[in-house]
This record gives sequence, C-alpha cells and structure tokens, in this order.
Amino acid sequence: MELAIALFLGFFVMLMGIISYRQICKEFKQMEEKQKK
Amino acid sequence: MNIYFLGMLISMIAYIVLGLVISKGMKNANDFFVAGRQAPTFLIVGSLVASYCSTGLFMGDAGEAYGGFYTPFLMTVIMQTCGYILGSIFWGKYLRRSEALTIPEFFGKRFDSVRLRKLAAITAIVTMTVYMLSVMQGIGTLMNYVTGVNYNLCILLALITFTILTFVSGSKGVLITDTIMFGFFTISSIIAIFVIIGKLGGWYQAVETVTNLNPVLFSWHGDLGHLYPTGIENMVWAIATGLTWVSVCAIGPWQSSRYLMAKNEHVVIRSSVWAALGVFMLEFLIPTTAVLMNKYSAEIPGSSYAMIWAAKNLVPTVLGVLVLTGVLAAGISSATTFLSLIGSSFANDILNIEDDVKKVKMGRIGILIVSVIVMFFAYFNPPQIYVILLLSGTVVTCSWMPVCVASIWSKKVTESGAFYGMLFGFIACSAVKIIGSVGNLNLPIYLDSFFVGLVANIIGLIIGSKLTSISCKEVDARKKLMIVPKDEYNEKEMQITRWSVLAFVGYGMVVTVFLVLMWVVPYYKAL
Repeated sequence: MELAIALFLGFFVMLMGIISYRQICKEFKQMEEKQKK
Repeated sequence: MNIYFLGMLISMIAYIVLGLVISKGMKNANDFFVAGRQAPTFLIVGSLVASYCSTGLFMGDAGEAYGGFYTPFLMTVIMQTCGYILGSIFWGKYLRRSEALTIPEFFGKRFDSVRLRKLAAITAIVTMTVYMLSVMQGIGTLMNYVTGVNYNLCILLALITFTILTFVSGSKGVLITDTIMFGFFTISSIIAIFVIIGKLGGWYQAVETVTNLNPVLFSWHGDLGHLYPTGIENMVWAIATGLTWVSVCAIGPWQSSRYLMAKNEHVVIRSSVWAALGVFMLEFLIPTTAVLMNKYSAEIPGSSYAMIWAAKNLVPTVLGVLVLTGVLAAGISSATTFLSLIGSSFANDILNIEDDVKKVKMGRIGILIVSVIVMFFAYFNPPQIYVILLLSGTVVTCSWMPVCVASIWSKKVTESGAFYGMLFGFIACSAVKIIGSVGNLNLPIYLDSFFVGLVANIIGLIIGSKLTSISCKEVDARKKLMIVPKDEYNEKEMQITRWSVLAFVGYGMVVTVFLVLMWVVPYYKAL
C-alpha cells in the first residue's frame, strides 16, 4: 500500500504538470499565431 | 541571557533595520502595496515559500508527523504543491494581468461590484487575522520554550518586529525580507537535518530504528488513534485536505497575491514551479526527520516540540541557534505577509481610497489596528481562540475557490452568482467548523467543512447566476482579461517558461523516486 501511495502521488504531480504544460503550449501557440497575423 | 534569545534578538533587530533601509526607496502606493510590480522570479519564489512556511511547518506539521500521522500528512503536502502550478496558469497570470492592487479589487473590477469587493476583503482580513494569531502563538511557544523568557514578552517582541517592518517598508520590504528569511531557514534547516541524520547512523538506519520501535509510524494508515479509527477514513481525510491546500496554494490571498508583484506573467509561472519544489523539499525533509525523533520520545516534551528539541539537543549550539532563529524568521515572514495584505485590503477595498498618499497612510493605520487586535487576542488567549484558529485555510478555499475559477473561465457567472457563492461558502464552512469545534462533535468525513462549504459556494454561484443576467461591463472586463499584453510576447522568454513548466512534470518523477527510495524501501526493509 505504501508503494501504491508513492506511485499515486508521483503520478498525480506528473498529471498536473502535463495539464499545465498543455495549457501553456496552447496559449503560447495562440499568441504566436496572433503575432503572425 | 541565553544564546538562543540573543540570536533571536539580533535577527529581529536586523529585520527592522533592513525594513528601514528598504523604506527609503519607496515612492508611491504601487511600491507599498505591490512592490512596484517589478519583482523577479527569485523574489516571488522566496516570498511564496516564506509566506507558506510559518512556525506551523516546524511545530505543527512536524508535530503531526511525529505524533503518528505521517503518511496522510505526506499525501496532503505533495498534492498541495500542485496548487502552485495550477494556480499560476489558470488564475495567477490573469490576476497579474488585471493590474489590481489587491485580489478583492480584482473581483470588484471583474464583476463591476462594490459589495463583492468588500465581501472578498472582509473574508481575506478575517482569515488572515486568524492565521496570524496562530503564527503568533507558534512564535510565542517556540521562543518561550527555547529561551525561557515570558510568553507574553516573546509575542510582544515578535509583534513589534513584524509591525515595524511592514509599517515602514510595505510589500517591497516584505518581499525582500521574505526571500532573505526563506534562504536563512532553508539552508540552516537542511544542514541541521544532515547533522541529525548522521547522528542517527544514516537515513536507512534511522528509519529501521524507528520502525522497530513503532511499525505504525511509517505505515500507510498511520496511528489509528490519532484522528480517524480506520485507514480508509485517514486516506479520505488526506485527499480532502490535500485538495483544500491545492486550492490554498493556488488562490489563497497570502499566496496568489504574490503574483501581483511579479515583473511579468512569465515570472508568475516560473516562480510557481520553483516554489512547489521548495515547499516539497522542506515539507518532506522536516516532518520525516520529525518522525525519526521518536527514538528520543522519552525526552521530547510534546509532539510540537520534536524538531525544536532536536535543534537544541542534537546539533552543535551555533547551528541550533541558526535553525531556531530561522524558525522564528519563518513565523515573522508569514506574519509580515498577512499584515501587509490586511493593510492593503483595509485601505484599498474597505475604505476604497483613491488618493495615493492617503491610501498608504490608511494602509499603515490598518496594519497598526490589526497588530493591536492580534496582540490583544494572543495576550488574553481565550479558549475560543482555538476554535477560531481552525478556520483559516479551509474557509478561504470555500469562500474564494469556485468564484476565482468562474471569474476567469466562465462566461455565464454573474455578479450575484459570485457574491452569493462567496457568501454561502464563507458562512457554511465557518458554521460547520464552529459547530464541530464548540459542540466537540466528531462529524463524519463527508460532512467535513471543506465539502459543505464548497457545495454551498457552488450552489450560490449557480442559483445567483441563473436568476440574474450578465452586464455589459462584466462581459468587457472578462474580455479584457483574455487579451495578452504585447510585452508578454517574447520568444526567448516563452521558451524558458515552457521548459520551466515541463520541469514540473520532471518534478513528478523526482517525487516518485524520492518517496520510493527515502520512504518505501527503507520502511519495507525494516519491517
């Protein structure tokens, strides 16, 4: 169970990181497109 | 005069002198309330972590871990570090973009509402005053135990220090001294932890010794006599508290208000990544070392004193003085942040003063008033204070979280929805906390104030928004928030920010490896 908790916590942090990364990439892409226009 | 008291006195005088020096460069209300909006990443990181780490980390959190609640506690603190990155990307950078002086001002502008602005200011002032009281009690207990000096004199000295510091130098001084204090207590604590672990025969040996003494300490369920009688309930508690503190780190006034001072939006995002790493490092190392102090349980006077006792008895005196002065710095840094924010909200949102000079003057008066109130409560220390102390973190989440999210990401939420959501969340959460504490009731986990307050907020938000319609000013205010300022477009800066956020994913891997190697493996080996 301790191992499962350690893996869950690591996974949770990574998931939040991935969600944040996707969001920031999306926003920066929109900024770049607007800049090109 | 003992050496610990001398060290603490010198550090307090140094903070006051520093505050006076910084105050000389202060020109206007922007400097006083938001440090001129010119703060670089390292200052925002320093202030985020220092505001978070009060005496609660060294005494409260460490005490919980020492007392048998290690794993549920560990879950909450690791989850909460995600609040930084989520908060900066989905809330903080929009807050920075609004160019408001305070978060209540942001709400007021976004929903074109004076009553919402005042309500937000009141909830912020109440929760931060309460939090400050707990910090004061922590400082008093620490100084009294370490120095033997009278408790009331200790809190008076600390109060004088952080009141003068905040009064003269405002947010600018708070930001700089926070960062210095953060560096001070982080470095001294880490060195002390290395020394303590060395004395215990190394990390693995120390975990083995403590596990042999009490196998429950590092187990997933913790001590079942501590809070809930079953492991599952402890896990539910950990997840609920973890989510509460994800919200506190994301939108809590003493955390997200730091973003108002950032130089630009890239600084907001990058600082959140490094703050998460800093909080994880401190929240893992200090409470885990506190668990290892169970080896000396016969000599430690109480769970909150575990790490303080270690700093006094297991490390060389000079290092002990530095660590304990660092703990004091952690308390003072949190108190200065609360105090400066209370002053800002008082002048800017409650009194709604436009004139710059008057605004700073009234902000300072607000700081003085709250200092006197806090001193009064801390001095007389009525038993009800313990009830009030339980309010802060959860109440601010239940009052603000759904409104913060909706203010950026919803086109449907109206001023009434935001107002009643905040009001219902505040009342429901406070009521459950007070009823549970005064009546000494053991409410089931699903009636936790976090769940009740959050549901009440969302109900208020939905009903209020359904019954009213959005004004043109609200639509325009939200549209304005979606316009990225031209200065933010800089390819090099964007690339660094992208890498910083990606580093957060790497931090997730580090967490896994760290927990497996530093907790799971040595614990399994010891069983």
